[in-house]
Amino acid sequence: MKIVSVYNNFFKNNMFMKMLLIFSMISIVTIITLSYIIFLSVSDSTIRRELAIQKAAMEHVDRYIHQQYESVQNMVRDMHQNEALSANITYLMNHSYAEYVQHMTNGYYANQDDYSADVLKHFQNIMDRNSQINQLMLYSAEQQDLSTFNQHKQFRKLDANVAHSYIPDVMAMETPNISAPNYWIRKEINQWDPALYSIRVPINNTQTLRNLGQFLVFFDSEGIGNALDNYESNLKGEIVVLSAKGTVLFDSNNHYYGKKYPYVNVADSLFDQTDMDSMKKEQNMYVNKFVSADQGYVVIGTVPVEEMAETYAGIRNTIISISIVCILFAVLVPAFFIINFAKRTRRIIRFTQKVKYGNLTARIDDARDDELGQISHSFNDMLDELNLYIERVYKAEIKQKETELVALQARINPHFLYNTLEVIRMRAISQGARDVGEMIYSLSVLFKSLVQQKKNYTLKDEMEACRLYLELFRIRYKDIFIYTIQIDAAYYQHPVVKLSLQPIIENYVVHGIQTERSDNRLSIVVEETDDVVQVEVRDNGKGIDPARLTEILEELERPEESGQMFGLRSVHSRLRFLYGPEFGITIESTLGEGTRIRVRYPHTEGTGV
Amino acid sequence: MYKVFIVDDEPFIIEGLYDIVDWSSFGMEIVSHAGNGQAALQALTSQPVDILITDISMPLMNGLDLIREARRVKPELKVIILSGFNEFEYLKEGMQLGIENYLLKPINVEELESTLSNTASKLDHTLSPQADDAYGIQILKDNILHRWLTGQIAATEFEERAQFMNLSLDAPDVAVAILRDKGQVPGMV
Repeated sequence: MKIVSVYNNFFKNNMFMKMLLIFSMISIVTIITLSYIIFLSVSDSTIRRELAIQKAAMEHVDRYIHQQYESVQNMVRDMHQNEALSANITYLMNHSYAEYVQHMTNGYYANQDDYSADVLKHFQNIMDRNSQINQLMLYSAEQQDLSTFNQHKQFRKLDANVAHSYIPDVMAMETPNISAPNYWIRKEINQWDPALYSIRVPINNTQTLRNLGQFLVFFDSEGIGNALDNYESNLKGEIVVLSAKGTVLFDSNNHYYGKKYPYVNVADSLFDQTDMDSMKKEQNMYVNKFVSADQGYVVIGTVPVEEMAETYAGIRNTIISISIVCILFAVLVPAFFIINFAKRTRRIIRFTQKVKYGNLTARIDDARDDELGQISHSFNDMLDELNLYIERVYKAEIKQKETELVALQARINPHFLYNTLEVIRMRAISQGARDVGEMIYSLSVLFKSLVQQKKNYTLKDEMEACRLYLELFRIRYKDIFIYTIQIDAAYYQHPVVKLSLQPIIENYVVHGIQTERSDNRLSIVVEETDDVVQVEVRDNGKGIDPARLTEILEELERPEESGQMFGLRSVHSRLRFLYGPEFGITIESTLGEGTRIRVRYPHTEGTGV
Repeated sequence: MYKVFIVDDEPFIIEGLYDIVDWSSFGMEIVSHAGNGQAALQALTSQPVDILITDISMPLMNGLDLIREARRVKPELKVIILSGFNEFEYLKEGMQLGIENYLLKPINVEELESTLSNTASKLDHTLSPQADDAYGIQILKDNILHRWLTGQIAATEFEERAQFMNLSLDAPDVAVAILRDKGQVPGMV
């Protein structure tokens, strides 16, 4: 409902507001769409870049681990290459430690053997060289024991007989070379640090190629972390190395050591494609996967979406603020112009209303020359022309008529006229010509009524003038005609136009009366029908020829000009002009019988003279 | 017989006045006439009359001045004014002086006769000079209304005079009160 009322108030008949609204909507939608697309594109490329960086880091990790594996392989190779060492290792693997020491001592004395052939020493050197090594182990398949060297250079030889240990089974399994340290081995050596990974290389008899045992190295996962040092500043998210079973071999953020990595189903991963572009989004994380299939570990990089979002947060804010500024511009600037235009248009409308209500002096004040300005100027010019026309044509004409009237009146000096008439009248009476006196009296009064301007000219006044006129003629024609006037006193005060009945009477006296007869009659009857006061003037005079009657009726309709029938046409047109087209005079006539003229006035208060 | 004096600058009008009315039937007779105010005044001073009928616009003292001067000689002089066309200002002044009636030219005979009749009856009934006519205009008013109530004035004439004197008679009802003197009561003034 609120929307409907807002619509009705502001938009319904307002073209400008509609225009503005449509334009604003289009601009806003366009700008928003564009900025969103730009934002998506930018964020997309940012994400890709970050993931590429991470991928590079992951590759680095992978290479590093591979390197470690190769180094272990090298260690084994070295061991084989050095015959003395190799022999010693074999001896150590197949005999107890005590026996080995004896063997070594014998060797020194007997063969002046190289000190460097000491297995322990060799291993110690290896450990010194590679600080990442946590544990070195030799497993003898024959003896089923495990020789371990830890960081603190402690050496132990542990029994790993199949009867009470699972280690032989472990060693016999075809596990990947790189994996998490086996639980049983850990148990045996009591090494529970979770941040370790193990690399295993089988030791085979070089000649028989029979498997003698396994060479295991436990590395600190920290080492992998160090490899990432270069990337530290740029890296987002974390990199995790998982074993084939899903154990965490390395975690760059140290979260998941010892726990199951939640984000990836490792079983799937191993069989996944190893392409570079495997970017998946799961559980609000971007997951980058790099599988090293043959070695049995998976390098996984993840970036939380929020963390990624931070990278392009800056760009996003910039885009948003620019869009807002653009929208503001796109809406406000046209709004300003349109509102300005609307104001001017409304001003023009107001002025036309003013003129509509009669104020012809209104002018629009608009100085500019655009379309609205042109309309305003034309409007003003039009009004000027109109006023000029009114002044010149109408007012001048009216003035002309007024002047003529005044001149006419001035020519007849009333004082002179009446005095003279009065004198003549008195003289006539003195001479005994009473009828002359009466005629002159009638004429005098008639003239008076014609010239005098009465404010409220009533039907009674007009009737009186008619009566005087008829009286004059009755005497003139020496009683060959009689007249009757029938008017209800109620109509006495009815306002009428001056000289609306007299011309009709005149007409009869001039045209209608039959002087050869002595029974001429004229009757004037006033009656009312509906809202019309009707004065019927009926005579038994000559009547009007039908053709002539049609002519007369036609001429009545034509606008008033000087010419024949000035009186009748004047009455008709004046009545219609003042009261409306349904009033005026009607003429009926029969040749040889008489004429009947009806004059219609409105009954309600007329507009006055 | 009441004495009547006629003043008008048109001799034929004077002559006509002699003829259009049967003066004796009203108990009046025209004793003299004059052509201008000055001559009239002289005549009136030497020989006072009861009724003065005078025109307004005349040379050598117009009708109004004549009335004023004549009233000095005889305050209770009855005056009837004859007036030409459009002399309303003068008429108003004349009314203030106290006139029986004014007659516009052309002179309506009935109106004249009716006025004379009214004046005669007033003269008949006046025993003492009317010294206490405070307002001159009241005289005309009284006359007109009296004649109207007794049906002695034509409608047109009445209407014209009523309008002139600003008597508004538009209301639908009129009340008439008759006060009759019940004769002298001892002790009352």
